Amino acid sequence: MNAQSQEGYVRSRRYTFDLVTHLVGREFRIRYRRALFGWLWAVGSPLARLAVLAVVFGQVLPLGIPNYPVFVFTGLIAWSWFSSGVASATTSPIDRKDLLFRPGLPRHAIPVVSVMTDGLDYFAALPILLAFLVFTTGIPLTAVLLPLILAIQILFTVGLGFLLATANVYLRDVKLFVEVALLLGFYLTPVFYRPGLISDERLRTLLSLNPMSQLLDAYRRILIQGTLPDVKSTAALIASGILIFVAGYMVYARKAPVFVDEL
Amino acid sequence: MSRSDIELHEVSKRYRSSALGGPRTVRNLNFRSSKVQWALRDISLDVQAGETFGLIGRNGSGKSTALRIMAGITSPTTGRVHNLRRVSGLLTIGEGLQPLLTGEENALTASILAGLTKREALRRLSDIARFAELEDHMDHPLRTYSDGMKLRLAFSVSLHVDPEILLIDEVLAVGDIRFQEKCFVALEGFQSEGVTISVTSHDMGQIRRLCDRVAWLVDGRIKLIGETDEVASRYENAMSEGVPEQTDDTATRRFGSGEIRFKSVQLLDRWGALLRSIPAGSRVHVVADYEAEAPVNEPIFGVSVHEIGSGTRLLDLDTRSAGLATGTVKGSGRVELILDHLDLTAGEYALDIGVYETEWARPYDYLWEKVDFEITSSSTSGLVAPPHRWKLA
Repeated sequence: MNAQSQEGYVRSRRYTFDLVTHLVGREFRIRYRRALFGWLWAVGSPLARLAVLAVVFGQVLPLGIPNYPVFVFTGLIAWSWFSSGVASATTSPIDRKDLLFRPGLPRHAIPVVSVMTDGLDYFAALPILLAFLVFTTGIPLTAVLLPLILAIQILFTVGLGFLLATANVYLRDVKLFVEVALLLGFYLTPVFYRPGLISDERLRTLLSLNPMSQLLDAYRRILIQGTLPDVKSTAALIASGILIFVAGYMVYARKAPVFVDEL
Repeated sequence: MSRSDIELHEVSKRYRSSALGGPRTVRNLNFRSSKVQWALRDISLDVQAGETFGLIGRNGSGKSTALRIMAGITSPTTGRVHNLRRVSGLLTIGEGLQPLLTGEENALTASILAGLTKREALRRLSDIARFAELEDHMDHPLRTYSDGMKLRLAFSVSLHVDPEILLIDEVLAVGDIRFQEKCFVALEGFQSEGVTISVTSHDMGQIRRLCDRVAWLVDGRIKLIGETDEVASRYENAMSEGVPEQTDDTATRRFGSGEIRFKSVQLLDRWGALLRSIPAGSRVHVVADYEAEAPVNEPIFGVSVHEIGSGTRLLDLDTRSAGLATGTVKGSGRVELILDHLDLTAGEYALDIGVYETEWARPYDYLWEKVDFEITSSSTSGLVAPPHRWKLA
């Protein structure tokens, strides 16, 4: 590698970093523009939901899950990232069509930036979760696997985001469908309950096919119980995550060059 | 040795008619009626490095689509495109900007997307603001900008990002004359530095001034491609021939194809009295009666004012720019333009009035210097006298 291409390489890495951080920062500013408390809402909202769930299923209808607030919060913030990421990625080409009208933007950056911006909310809530853990069960060693589980979740979120964003450009019903599906998904995914509480065996197996259900189980194992995630299920998650991501990427890459014709 | 920077090989672009309509939902899906429309058919051209290439043609001829394809904003249905260098462009003013963010944030995004690192982009912000003459507005959200301000910002950004290939869609037609001139000077600077430029325009004056070569598009196909002077002249001739039964009577200072004709044009004050001599800053109604023999769809009415003896238009207003839908016009009718403050300084002025085909393709009727009037009782010189006061601190 000669000096010039070396410099070009460093520059292009620098550039990609600048591009991504700028776009994420920009997305963030657009979302919280003219909001007095700004990002506090992003942190406040999961805490408020946590409080409600903790009261309802800890006190009113007790589910008998130990360390229930930590249990719920672990699932809640992961689910929130998934659900807001999928929702915002779905509408991202339409919401940010100003970017599509600029020459030079890598088209696939648009849903990725959306999902990453929602990730900021997760990382804002994460220290709170860790603090919870310190004061209850302690942070187990297996917590170092968190980046792996998050990476799998990102594959799913971005992959679905690519697929749904493409579909939504052509058919605006997709956004409405996604909203309903995510609302139902919150109840069909063990965010505030444990799958073991489902008495019907067949229903339980059916619901366990939901990858988010497997992911939440993995989060709870490594963060609360201090055990390793199930190897077979993790392997299946990685494989299906890659599959969804690649499929989404291919569909998106095929259609994105003509998105502006449909906007 | 010349090499080409942009190559289009047999490029065709098809739009489905539904893509031309609104957003689609399951309820208004109708597969059988989805018609296709070819915006471009078999376009092959190459733009040489360092050359300025013009695309001309009527609205709907495909020139903007061709430019979008060159920019990579959309890809062709069939055919191939090659861009050999980095494209930076200015295509349609509003669409590349985000209304919620400030001018500065928009300028940063545009600069970074054009290939600058954040540090370079930050360093150039003040130059961008200065050229756009928006130093005091850079921290205001873009939704508070006028179209002219947006254009200035967008133009200024594309001039400050070291473009290698610069694409400009029609936007030179917008903005005030002084800023346009400033842009021309900047573009001429780029031309001497060897930047490759491609522009679309209706204005043959601009095309002749800037372009080395021109392609003339008709219904998505290249009708003629070649040296600017030749293509532009043939285009101008065709445009004037294409107009049916043009009356062009210099004595009556009237021309147009006659589908709509003005019967009378008057300047009235707020009580409907005829005006000839107008105190500066008064309210003026321009009232025109017209007649259309057959129904005419969405004509555009326009009024302009210039100082007698000078070609500079002080006012140039039309219903299209004002966002007024004129609907279908038939029989006799009246159109009225209300100027709340005619803030011109004392002097003698003339008013032109015109009515045009809905795509500005030709005038139906145009009355040149139809009404002369005089502005009185303004004690300032200069051209305009906006409401103002002085203060001493």
